[in-house]
Parts: sequence; C-alpha cells; structure tokens
Amino acid sequence: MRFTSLLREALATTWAAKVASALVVAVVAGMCFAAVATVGRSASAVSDVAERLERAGARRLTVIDTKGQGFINESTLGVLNSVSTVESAHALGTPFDTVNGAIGAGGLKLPVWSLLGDTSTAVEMVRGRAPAEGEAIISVKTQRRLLLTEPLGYLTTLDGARQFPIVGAYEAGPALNKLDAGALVNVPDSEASRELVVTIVDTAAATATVQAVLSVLAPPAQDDVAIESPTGLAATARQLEADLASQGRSLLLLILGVGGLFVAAVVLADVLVRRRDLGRRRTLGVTRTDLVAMVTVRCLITGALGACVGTFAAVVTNRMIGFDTPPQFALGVAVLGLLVAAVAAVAPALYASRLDPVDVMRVA
Amino acid sequence: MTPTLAMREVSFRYRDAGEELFGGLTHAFARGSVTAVTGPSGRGKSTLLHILGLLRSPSSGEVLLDGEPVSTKSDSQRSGLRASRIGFVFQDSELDPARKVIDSVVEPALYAGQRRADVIDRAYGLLDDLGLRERANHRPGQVSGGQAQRLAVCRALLNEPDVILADEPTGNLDRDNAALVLATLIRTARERSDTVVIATHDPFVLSLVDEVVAL
Repeated sequence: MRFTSLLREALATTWAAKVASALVVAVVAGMCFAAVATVGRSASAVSDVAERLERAGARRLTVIDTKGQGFINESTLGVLNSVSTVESAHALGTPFDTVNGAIGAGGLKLPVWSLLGDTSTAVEMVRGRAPAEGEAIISVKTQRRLLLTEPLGYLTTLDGARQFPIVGAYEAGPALNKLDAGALVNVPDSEASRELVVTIVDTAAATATVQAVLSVLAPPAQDDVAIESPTGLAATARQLEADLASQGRSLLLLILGVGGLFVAAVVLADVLVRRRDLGRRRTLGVTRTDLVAMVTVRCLITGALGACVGTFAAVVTNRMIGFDTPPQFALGVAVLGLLVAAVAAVAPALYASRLDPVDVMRVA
Repeated sequence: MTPTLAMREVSFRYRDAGEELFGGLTHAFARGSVTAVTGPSGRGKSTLLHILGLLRSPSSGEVLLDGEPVSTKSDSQRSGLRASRIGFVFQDSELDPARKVIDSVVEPALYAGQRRADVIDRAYGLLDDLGLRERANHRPGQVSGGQAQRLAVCRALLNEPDVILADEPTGNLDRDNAALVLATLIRTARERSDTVVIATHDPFVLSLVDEVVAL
C-alpha cells in the first residue's frame, strides 16, 4: 500500500470515527495541558533560578582586608581584572562620614567611599561627569535625600577638614549596590583600599575564582582576610535546580504514562468497535503491517491535533497566571505527547492486525 | 491448460475440534467457468471459500493458483494475492458505511499498491456498466440492497482478478436483483476467463452455473 493511500485512508477513518478521534484528541490535549501547566511551572521556576544566579548581584565575591595589610591595591586589582572568570573587580576604601557642606555638621550623615578600578563598570553616571582627584559624585538616591535639585555643591567631613565638590550623580551597578546609600570620592592612591568586590562571570566558577583571588592577593595569614562568596548560594541554587528538574521529570513521566494508558484504552475500544471494518480490509488484502500503520497514523493525526491544542491552552493559561513557559519545554511536551500517542496506539494496532478476519466478519 | 484455481486433498478441522471437513477434497476450477459450492448448512461452504480465498489455511492439502501452492505462503504474501488476484463478494455487500460507495469500490486497488487516481476511471466505468454511476457519491445507507450488492461486485472486479469468490451473494436479494448480480458474475467469467466460485444453496443460482461442487 502506498504511503499516500495509507495517509488518505487514515484521514478518512479519523473523520468517519468522530467520537473515538475526539476522545484521542481530548486525552492527548489533557495530557499535554497537565504536563505544561504543572511541570511547565517547575521548568519556569528552574529557569527563574538560573536567571537570578546570572544576575551580577548573585555573582559578587567580596574580600575584606581585615587588618589593613594593603594587599588590595591597584597592582593586584589589575591582575584580577585579567583573570578569565572575573567580569570586573573594584576596590573600595574604608567608608567615612560626610555631610552636605552647605548645611554643615548638623546635616544628614552620608557614607563616602573611595573607588579603585573602572568607574564606568561600577556605577552608571546619570548626571555630570566622573570625579577628578578630590571631587565627589553622589548617588541619585542620596541626591533625593539631600533634597538637591541638581548634583551640585560639596560634601565635607564631620570635622570640616576635607571638602569634596560634587560633580555628578550616579546609579550603582548590581554588584556595588551599597554605593547607592552614599557618595564616591576620588582620593589619592596612597589611601589603601580595604574591600575588594569581584563580579564573577558565572556562579559555577565561584570556587575557582576564590582560589585565584587568594593567590593573587596572597594575604600573609588566613585571618588577614574575610571572604563572602556566592559558592554556597550557587551550590544551593544548583541543588534546588536539580531537585525541581528531577521532580518535574517524575511528574512528566507520570502524566505521560497515565495519558498513554488512556490513549491505548480509547484506541483499543475503537478497534473492537470497528473490528468488522478491519476484518473487511484484511479480507480485501490489506497486510498486517499496513493495518498497524493505518491505526497508528490515525492516532498520530489526532494526537498531533490534541498536542497542539493542549500545549497552546496550557501556555496561555500559565501566562494568564503569571508564568512564562519556556518555549523549548512546551515544544518538547507537544512532541512527547505525540510520541506517547503513537506508541500507545501500537499495541491495539497489533491486536487489530491479529484479529481473524473470518471470525470478526461472522460475529461482529 | 493449468487451471487458475485448484485444490488438492484439502481437509479442514477447526481448532476447537469437531469433525473434519472436506475429507481430502481435490478439485480444479476451470478458467472462464462459474462453479457453485453447495451443501447443507454446516458442511463448510463458506469455510471452503475462505480456504480458497487464502483467509484460512487447510489442515492438510493445498490450494494452488496457476499450479503454484499458495496456502502455505506467509500472511503478507497471501494478503498480496488476495488484493491483486482474488475478488470477494460477501453476502452483506460489506461496503464501508461511513464513506461514499466510490471509496469502497476503489478500496482493494489501494491494498494492491495502486494509486486512487490511476483506478478511479476504471471504477466509474464499472459503475457505468452496472448502472450505478449516479450512486457513486452516495453512502451505502442511501442505496438499495440490490444496488449495494452490485457495488460489491464492482469492488470485486476493480483489480481485474483471476478469481472471484462469492459467499451467498444473492442470499439477501429478490429474484430480479439476484439475476442481475449473477448475470454480471457469469458475464465476467465468460469475457475475461475468470474463475468464479459461488457458495450457495439457492436452486436459482445452481440452475445458472457451469459446475456444482456438492459438500
């Protein structure tokens, strides 16, 4: 039998047996809907966890020079910026309090940091310019707290000994978001930095990067340095991701397994109802192989329709309640649903092909 | 000349025991002849037709097509022979109730590996010959019993088979329709040198055939 003839016959019987076809569509649609609506949310959660891990704030590694040994300096910073797993590295001096110079000592106290490293990767300038030596820039948040319409004026230390003209405003990047609480000043290199903030390219590289940073800084003793790294966070997140994925796989298998059984039951019932028709076909000369193919292709046609309907409905439903289903997952479920429908149809199709045509035409 | 269809020492016994049928029957069905297989109920008229149609295998003996034993061939080969060389006419016409009658008529050609487009003209020609052209797009439920049986004959003739097996083809028909169906089968046998075997106990049919095999 030619494939086109087989396809035509399968389509014709699909249309002729509307109840059975509608049931297969409904079962496959339900299977795909359930899979995408439940497991899809796990996939969405996994995707969300992965996305959060990729944000710069989660990829921050902080090293504190606890005893002021001076190993965080321009030289070590330069080396660290060339490490392959380092996206950017900045050093912060010990913060000190300042007030708005126009108000004086009774004004709002603001923490001020000196920054070593590329300012453009640490903060985003929104007004004014980068500070020259002895100048300051304030965060947009600080500008609002100081009730300044423009980032102008100057900051002064509490004792009034040092003054820093304000030349711009910034918004801190995610790795250095604490800078939003105050201001940055450009001070001479001689003032040692105490805090190193490294943004890693990937949380998976956290452990390797910590080792690289320590070897570059080479602190004299273990307790000369305090480290906050995302290695624990990364490990927890990866474990969570693995747990969610494993749970999702189990649920998906359960849904597909139950769905497959339902499809097989519907196809078997249809075969039993149509056994006289199948017996006639066998008598007229259709081979067992062609009969199996005809039943299976018919299930594939209805399964494809059900998979599209169920998956689309679940994606729309997920979106309506605030979940974005990963497209590759939705596509994967639709394909799996279709495969399950095809596999589920094979056993009833084989049974149909083994029916004795003489018996079924006599009895049915 | 080698007969198209023959059987040699054929016997058959159902799996759930019972008596053995046919007792080693040997018979050659001549080309261009119409043979009736007759006998009382339970003597195996239909079963013999099923054996000749390669739907059942004999317990012993063999069926020969053009002198070649075919009853022991594989299921796939026997299906192929049924599709291409044997035409069936059933007692109840057995047209697909969900489809147009033209679809039922072309059905065996599809199983024989032919394209619908290649046989559709031949199918309409057969419908013309039997005065059924205007019924081509009707459903089986919309045609009379006699017309349905003539449509079944069209289906049996579509692949221009060498053998036509008809199981009580006139059992549900009135005398006029029965005569029409038989006339078609007999004409086919004469014109195309086909071998026609009819299982029947209808004296009217027996009066028209060339040969009778009594069981």
